[in-house]
Amino acid sequence: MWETLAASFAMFAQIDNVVALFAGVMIGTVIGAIPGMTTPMGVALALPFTFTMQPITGILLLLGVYKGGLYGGSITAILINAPGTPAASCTGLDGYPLARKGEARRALDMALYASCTADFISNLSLIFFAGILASFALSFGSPEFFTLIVFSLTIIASVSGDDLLKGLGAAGLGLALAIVGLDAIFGTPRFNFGNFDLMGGLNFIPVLIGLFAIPEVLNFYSKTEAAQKLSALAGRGASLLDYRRAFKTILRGSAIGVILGVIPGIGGAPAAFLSYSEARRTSKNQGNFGKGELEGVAAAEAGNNGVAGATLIPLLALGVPGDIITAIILGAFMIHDLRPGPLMFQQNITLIYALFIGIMLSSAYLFIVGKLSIRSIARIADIPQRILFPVVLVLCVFGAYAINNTIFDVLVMFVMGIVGFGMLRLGIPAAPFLIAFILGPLLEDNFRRSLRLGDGDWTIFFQGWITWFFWGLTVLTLVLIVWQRIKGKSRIPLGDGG
Amino acid sequence: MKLNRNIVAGLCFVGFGALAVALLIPHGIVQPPSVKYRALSPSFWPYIVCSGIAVIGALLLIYELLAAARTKEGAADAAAPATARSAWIAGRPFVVMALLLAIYLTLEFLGFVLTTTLGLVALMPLAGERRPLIVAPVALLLPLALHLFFVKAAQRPIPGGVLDFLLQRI
Repeated sequence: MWETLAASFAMFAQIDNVVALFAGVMIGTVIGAIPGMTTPMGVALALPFTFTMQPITGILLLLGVYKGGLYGGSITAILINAPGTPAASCTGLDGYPLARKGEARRALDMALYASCTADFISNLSLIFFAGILASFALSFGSPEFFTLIVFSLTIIASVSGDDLLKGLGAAGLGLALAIVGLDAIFGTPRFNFGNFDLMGGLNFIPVLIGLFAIPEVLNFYSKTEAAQKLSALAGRGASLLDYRRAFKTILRGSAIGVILGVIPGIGGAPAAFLSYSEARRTSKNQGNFGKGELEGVAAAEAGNNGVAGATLIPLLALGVPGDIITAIILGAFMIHDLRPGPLMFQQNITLIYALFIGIMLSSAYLFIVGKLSIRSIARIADIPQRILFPVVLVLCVFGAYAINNTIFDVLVMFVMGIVGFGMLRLGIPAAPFLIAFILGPLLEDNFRRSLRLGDGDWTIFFQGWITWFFWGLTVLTLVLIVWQRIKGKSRIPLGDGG
Repeated sequence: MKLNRNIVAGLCFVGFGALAVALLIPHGIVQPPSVKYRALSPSFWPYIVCSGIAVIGALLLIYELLAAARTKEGAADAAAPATARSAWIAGRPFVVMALLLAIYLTLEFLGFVLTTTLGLVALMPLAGERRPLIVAPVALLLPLALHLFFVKAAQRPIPGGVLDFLLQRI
């Protein structure tokens, strides 16, 4: 055991590995922060550079990009409400209002602290619970997935703010938009109307940039010069007290991230929203969520980064990639004649332990890179808005195009921007729309697959303890929501009164 | 009763839901020749979702009608406009929307650099930044820098349009 550990440490402690990991985290942070540059894109771009490297060096570079990208997505979400990743749109719910209050640095700091803590916890879970969690993930079939996603949709109540009906309506629109494309079972077109570009459905990134960034730009143009003036960026970052106050939320968010992270196909966005929802439900400052609550930023980032180490569990323990990024990393393993899975733990345990050491170090690197970048990046908030918003618009145009190299995505972004502006004016929250748009395809696919598996028998949704567990959680959450609404009825109206 | 934004939102939801159920789903979803169970049909889920949107819109409208009946007097006070904005300020988002359409239509032909440069030249003064010493460098350098980043570093084929021959030499 100790000999293996010593050999692993010797394998890791090469200057190439240390530099590659640091470079990866830095590249990932920058890529994640650019709207239109996604983390999978960053990992894919870095992949060819790993061909000539040692396996451990190449894989650490890719892991660094992955981890940096998860955090980087939150930077633009906080500063200009243009999230770099779907999960970061949750961070923007409170991060952007904080930036508008002149507390961008505090929000960025909290996002970093929560990210690093959650990443560290997720890494520990990878090291200590890989076997147990992998077998848990394997017991997830379509009915279990369906009930998990139904439970995840209860988040909508939390992110709808005071307008529950409008939030539900927005979620319905998101689900409707997710239908566009080809039917997953029969392959027949749905809402394509003969348009080839719509065959593959709508891409997440143009939709989320359109929904969050463009309405802010349009809204800016609808205000007078006096109303546009914002307080300058305050120099104070998040304090130790802020961190201590949010610590429980970060721990809970990390646990949610770890649990959802091990389940293939879930990703960071549901984890971020679920963590946010739980934080709001249990917070003393419930009313402040969505208006600039630091705990909200911590919850979203903890959930998002909690998946980072956990998504590697099914990859390393079972050889099953949980998402696009881990699929690319699996490719990197295979290029170097390595096949992740139970056999790798027997044949290449030294490499596995060396990777674990690198993964643990990546949390520290994330902290260093984040701290170095925040000071300069936060100055974006100091740029006068009459310059910043036109610049954001141009950045969004390039970013939306760069996803798939298609002008159609730019059109999607503009149309969603105008829809989002209309929603903003009508007081319809955008977050439920996005959550439903992300979860919609998973929900429908698993619903129909389950019914096919069960030969049309609906009782398949109540088979096994996992489905009952999630049904129970869903009912409990709904009861709590109704109870909280009734309790706060005298204070909080269902609608906003126009 | 005044048309507040909750009522408009409710009408939008009802309108979209009804339109989808009556027209979009029957004409926009191709049905396979045979489906074993109704729930497996490609249109089953869309019908559920779009009917739900219409129902939510209807509930919002009913809630608003009941609320308006309860607080008729109070609403009249609350409806008083808080600020008088100029027609120009109120219309500016629509000018920007027209610019977005123009940007989309010219992106491929003029190329990203030229289109976004012209876009910045129009958008920055519209936002209130009229100093040529600020507008000119930002409008010229930012699109060029973004083009170079995406083409050289990220290896994305950003269309150069009419400036393609120049941009390829950089």
